[in-house]
Amino acid sequence: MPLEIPQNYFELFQLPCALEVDERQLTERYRTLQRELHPDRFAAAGSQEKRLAAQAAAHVNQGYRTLNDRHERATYLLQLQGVVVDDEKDTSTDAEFLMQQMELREGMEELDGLPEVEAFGDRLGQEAGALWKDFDACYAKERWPDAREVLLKLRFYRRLQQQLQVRREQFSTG
Amino acid sequence: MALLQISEPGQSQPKRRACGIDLGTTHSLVAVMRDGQAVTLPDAEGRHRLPSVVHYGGGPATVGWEAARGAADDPDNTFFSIKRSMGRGAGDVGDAHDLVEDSTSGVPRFRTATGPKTAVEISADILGALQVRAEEELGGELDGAVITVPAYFDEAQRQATKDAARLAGLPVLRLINEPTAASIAYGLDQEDDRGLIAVFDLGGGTFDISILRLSRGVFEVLATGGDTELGGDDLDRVLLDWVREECGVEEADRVWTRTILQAVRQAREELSEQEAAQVDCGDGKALTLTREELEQRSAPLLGRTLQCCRRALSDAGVEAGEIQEVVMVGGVTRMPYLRREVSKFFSREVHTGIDPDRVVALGAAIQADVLAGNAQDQDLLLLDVIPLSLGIEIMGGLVERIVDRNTTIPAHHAQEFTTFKDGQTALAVHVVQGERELVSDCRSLARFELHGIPPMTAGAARIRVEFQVDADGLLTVEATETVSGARAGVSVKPSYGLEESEIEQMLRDSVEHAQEDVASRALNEQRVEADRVVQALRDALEMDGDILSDEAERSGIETAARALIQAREGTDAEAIRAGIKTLEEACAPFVERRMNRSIQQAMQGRRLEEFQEQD
Repeated sequence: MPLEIPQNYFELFQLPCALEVDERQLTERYRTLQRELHPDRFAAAGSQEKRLAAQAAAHVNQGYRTLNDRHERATYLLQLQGVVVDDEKDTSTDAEFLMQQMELREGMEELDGLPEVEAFGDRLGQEAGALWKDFDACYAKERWPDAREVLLKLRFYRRLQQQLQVRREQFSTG
Repeated sequence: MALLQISEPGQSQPKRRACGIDLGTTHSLVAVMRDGQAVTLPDAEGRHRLPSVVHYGGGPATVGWEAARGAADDPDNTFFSIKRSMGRGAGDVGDAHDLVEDSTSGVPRFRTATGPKTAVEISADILGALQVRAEEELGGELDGAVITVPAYFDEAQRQATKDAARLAGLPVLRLINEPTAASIAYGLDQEDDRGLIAVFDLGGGTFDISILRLSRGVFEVLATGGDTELGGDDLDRVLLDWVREECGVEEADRVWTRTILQAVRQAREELSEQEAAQVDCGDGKALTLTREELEQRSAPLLGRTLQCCRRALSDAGVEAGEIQEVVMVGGVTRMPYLRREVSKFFSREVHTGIDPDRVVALGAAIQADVLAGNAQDQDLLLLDVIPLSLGIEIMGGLVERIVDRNTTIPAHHAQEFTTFKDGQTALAVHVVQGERELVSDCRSLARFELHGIPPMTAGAARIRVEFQVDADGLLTVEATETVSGARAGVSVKPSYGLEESEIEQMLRDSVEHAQEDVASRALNEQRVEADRVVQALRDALEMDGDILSDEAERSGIETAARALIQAREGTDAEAIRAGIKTLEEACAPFVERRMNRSIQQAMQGRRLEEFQEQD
């Protein structure tokens, strides 16, 4: 890309390179960038300018999407360190953790009624919260393989939380 | 500043003629800005809505009320709800009309007394009627139009809409989503930050739900959902079944069906105001339809809208209770039952302040005015999303998603793939759209092939597939083998889309555009484009002339600009096109530097804001 736009998303949004970001600031800065760079701002301009604006705006959109989601952000942090996490193929190899996941999955299937769904959701939230703390600690100590392992575990929790949402909807609509 | 001498000094730019068009399933409208207010334009009889009905009786097409009036007498040549056939194949357009076999691109052609017609051509005739209305109001040819489409329209349907505009000779500034347009019409009335809003849009043929976040002129769509086959038409079909049951009609012909559909629609609309309505079934028979009966029969269909709402909320990551405003759009939302149900769902009163039939066109007119450059002080920016995921077919008939639904546009995503056979030198790329995992359950968008991959062992080639979605939501796909640099790409032409050559043929064939008209239209298009390019350059030089690197660059640009202005005075469209290209090439480095300056300013703008926040 010939455009002089920061390729690093944290630089683009002028945020410290860390797991925790100020989401309000991120969104505010996203809007400011799009106010200047969105192709609609170049509606009267020539086709080259429109094309460049679309390029810049697409980059800003992708950056916002990446930094606005905690999982994506964590994956991106590792990617900046040269550690690749493939969403599809990679998975945790911790046998004890995998057993525990199976139990959680079974537990979810047995849920009956909204209160149980909510209690289960709280439990998932707490366990995931603890893992995020682990991730942060590993990241701070630059233990990249460990951070990667934690992130792979967190993917299980994300999937469980998505499935739980489906159950929640089933119960709330009857 | 030699180039500025070309311009007429001291003249402010004339207002550009722009309009917003709501191309609806059952009705269409056109709106423009008048004294800073968006207004829909009525016909000579004072009617704002134009029925989206076209009749081809052998001569020129008739559009609107006149076409609708004669519909029952000539159902075979009268087209209702053509929007539902846009971007669709022969299997999906219903059996209300006979199809003509012989289609080169797979676009169904309907048999009419005026010759075969595609949905795109029929839509172009509707656009043409609205265009005339706008041009009469604005006193001249349009510089640009914003046309609205359902948010849930897929690639093929959007492309078909753009093709229809092209056939009508209507320059499109942008396609925007109907719910987003409606939110503009509502949103601008308020100065303050209104937070999260939901737009519930149930029209004649389509349903959309959009969740937006509004902040000081920025309309950010968080998620959108819907059903392009759910609307008032479907309610009417349910009521048609009711009439058939009540009257004991087994086999219904097209004339009877058309008559009853019109009768039940009228009754359905009356039931928004009263408890019971008469349905005239012909032969002196009449049935009484009660509001209760209507509600009972439409409940399953309307229930589907709430399911879509649930999914859109979950995609947006917000709870129903967090929505601060609910805006109702589309004629069907006049139903008291629907208003109650939607109110209940979001636990708040719904907004119906602006006429639900007109609000989309009004919002489109506001956006058209901004995009045409008439409202530069207006701080309005739309950040919209794609409604359906985009991906490509991989081994085993599975879909690899490349751009997820609800991704903000413009978007650019890339993914690497590899070969699966030793020595494989070509790769077929099949682009699909949809949420399902199997290719057979998704909509096929396009196929193309990448050739010239150097023979390698399986898995060694690196093939980068890039998806670019522009601000209209239209897709371009490109594949590159990164070792050899072999490239292939397509501007996606949907499987049920018209080929470029077909569009040109239609332009030639249409009665109104004889051969010389096509030529003069091409010349006119190039002149308009040349004027636009020169004007844009003038503005750019005035604003950022200081970043020209040296006199040589300036004089290079000026020479090219003068050549273009000269070509523009001639009558050779090709020469003007070439002149535009030469000028753009001469400007390329300057344009790039300007864009980089914009980026710098955008980055600094943020710092400025931070200072303000700290104050």
